Amino acid sequence: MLDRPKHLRKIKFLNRLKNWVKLTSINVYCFSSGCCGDEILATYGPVYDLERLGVNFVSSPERADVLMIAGTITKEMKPILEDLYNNTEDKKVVIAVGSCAINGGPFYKSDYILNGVKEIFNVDLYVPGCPPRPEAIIYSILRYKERFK
Amino acid sequence: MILKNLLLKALYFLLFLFLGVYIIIYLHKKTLAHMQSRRGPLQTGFHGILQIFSQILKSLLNWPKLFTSWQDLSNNIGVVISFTFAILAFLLIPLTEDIFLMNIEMSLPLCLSFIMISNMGAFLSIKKVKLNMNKMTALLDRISTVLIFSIPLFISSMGPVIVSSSFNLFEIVRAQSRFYNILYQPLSFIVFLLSCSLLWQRLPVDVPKKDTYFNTDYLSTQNRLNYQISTISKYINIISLLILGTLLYLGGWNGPKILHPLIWTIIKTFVLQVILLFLYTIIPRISGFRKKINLSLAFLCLLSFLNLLIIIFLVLYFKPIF
Amino acid sequence: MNPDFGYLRTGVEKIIEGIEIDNVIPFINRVDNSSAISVELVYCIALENYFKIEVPIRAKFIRVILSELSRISSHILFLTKLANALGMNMPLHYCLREREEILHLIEVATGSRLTPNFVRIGGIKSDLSKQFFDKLKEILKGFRKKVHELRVFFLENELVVNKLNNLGVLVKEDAIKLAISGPNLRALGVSQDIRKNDNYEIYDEFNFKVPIGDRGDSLDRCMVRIEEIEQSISIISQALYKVPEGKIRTYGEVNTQLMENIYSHVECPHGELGMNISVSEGRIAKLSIKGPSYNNLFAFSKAVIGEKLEDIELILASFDICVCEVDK
Repeated sequence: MLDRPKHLRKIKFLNRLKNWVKLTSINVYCFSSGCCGDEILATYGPVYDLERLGVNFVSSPERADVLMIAGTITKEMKPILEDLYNNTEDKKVVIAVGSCAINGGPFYKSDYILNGVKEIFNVDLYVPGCPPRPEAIIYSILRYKERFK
Repeated sequence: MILKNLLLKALYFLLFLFLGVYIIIYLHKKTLAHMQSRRGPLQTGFHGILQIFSQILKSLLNWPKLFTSWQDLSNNIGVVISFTFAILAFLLIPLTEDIFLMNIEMSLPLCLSFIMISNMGAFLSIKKVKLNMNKMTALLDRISTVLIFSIPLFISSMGPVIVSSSFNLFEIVRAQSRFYNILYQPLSFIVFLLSCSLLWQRLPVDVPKKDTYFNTDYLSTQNRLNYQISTISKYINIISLLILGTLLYLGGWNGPKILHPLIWTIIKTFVLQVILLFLYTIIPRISGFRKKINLSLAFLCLLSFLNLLIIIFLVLYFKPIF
Repeated sequence: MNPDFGYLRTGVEKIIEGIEIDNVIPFINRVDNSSAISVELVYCIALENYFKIEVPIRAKFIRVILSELSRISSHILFLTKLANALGMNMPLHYCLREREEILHLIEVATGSRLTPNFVRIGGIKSDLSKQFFDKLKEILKGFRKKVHELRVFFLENELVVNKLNNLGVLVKEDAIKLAISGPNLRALGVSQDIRKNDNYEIYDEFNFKVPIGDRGDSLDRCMVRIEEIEQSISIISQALYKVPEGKIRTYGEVNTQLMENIYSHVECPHGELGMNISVSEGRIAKLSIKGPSYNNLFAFSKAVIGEKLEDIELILASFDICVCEVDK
């Protein structure tokens, strides 16, 4: 085998470090309404403690890497969501929680709502369920860790 | 030669400080979690020891943003001032009889005023932040709390000063070799703790989502590096306040000679930290300017003046006890 | 203060039109996210009263037990929101832990934590096993102590009491003009509870008090809700020993003619939840839901006048407004 040049080794080490940091401390900004919001609150609580996995719920989208969007998305909400998406970091991951955020859920026929977040921007992970159990939300974080290794 | 020695010592102190900050953030997260019947960080490293390390690295690894952030100094100057003054305040505090950096006559009031200045440093970072009503109120709220609650902090710390008749921290600790100050001036200790916890406010790292919004919104629009540095300086302030509390009331490094004196100070500061954490998880948030000023002037200052009167009486008539 | 509507509008009432009456329940129980079972209950009671279907007594008992369980979970959610607004970290997490036990019970019974989809016209979906009742007894034993713990956190902490006292006072005349109901009305000193006044299920068989406040400030609203949790526990523990064996559902005949304005109401955790239904040929022609949170929102905007800016979040939390129900 050929020896790699030294600077390449350094870059490899830096990339590994960056990856480790990305996987171990995850800043989540949560945009939620309705019953999915209650379930996300439950994951914050003592029984399903999300802080174990290194998840921080942050208060402003500027410091977030993960956008968690839950609940019904109406047409009036669209400009707010776009603003939110533009304010977050460049390399962001979007998680759609609940069937309302995935494709409209039981209200897909309605005139007032959009059929999912995917109509506004790209979605990386979907968490199905109406509302999804807290375990499903934790599993989405685990899948995030698996996927971006 | 003397300068070289001093620099080396300062380096050791800084190392100790950052290790202490690291440990205290970790313990803070863990004890808070166990109070709330949770586990806290668990997966990165053994019981989540490396969690805070990765969080700090996260801000440092963001290279392109870092360069731009150093360029606009107007945004950074408040953060830099608060950081340097926090470190200066820590360097004035002796840890044991042998481990100290400088021995100044007026070390206690200097240290307290440095802490106050570093808490007010946020005021200078106002320029770049987009000012809407919410952020402005949050910022004014922060400054007013620092101003209001540093008054009882200063007055209550005069109690131990009268007993030892010196502003020097060494003298204050030496005066407690027989009785700790907490035994005969508990009022002053309570005032000190309460005003500490109110100065502390809520820590910006891991509080609930809505809770951070009001208190640290003026910081959140800045980039990550500034935010992280300001939080670290906040933590340094907490540590120096806690160590000051142990030196003033709990007898500092005095203790049975089974353990090293440095370990005694560390144990006592940790006990103080747990008490403070308990206070601020149980007590509801105090909001509103008028309520704060009422609490500060009508309750805390009154108590500390009462304590001063008692101490003066004791010193005048029962001098030989001390 | 004027509320701004439309951000959560789903248009449920429009979607439902034209759907068979048996299939409506999964749509409408998303309206109230904190106690979905009471919405199902109103719908079924309205149709049962019109068609004169007699529900088996066992089913009635089980309905009462589940609706009281969801009332407890909703009130504990209210306490978490209040603790969040007050800035107390420890009680917040304790409330979340206690709520999890109740949600687990609801899940064992119905299969879902928040949206049970359990009540049917003429009875319930499936029978409850003996193991469920044993588990319920076991949890209820320890639960009184935990509720007492929460009471100590909120009502025996002097700082909290001082903060909530005389905050966001609602005048009685305003409350009657706005037609508010539920715990917010009872905090004013009006003893109005549909469970007592109308006896819609078998609530007349149980012994329970209707807790009332006297001034209508935030402290009274908090106190009334904590006492209601205790009353709900006593109702459940009475019901546990009275549950008879028997059928759980009767299949009555449904007319296919046009019917208009069938109305019924129940006491949901937020207040009076009413429903007006018109049916034609076995399908829904028009359905309108009258939620309590809509009125409570306007009551909030009345109560907020004259208070300081920093207390608004706290007053909003003390009214316990379910946002999904306001904008349905």
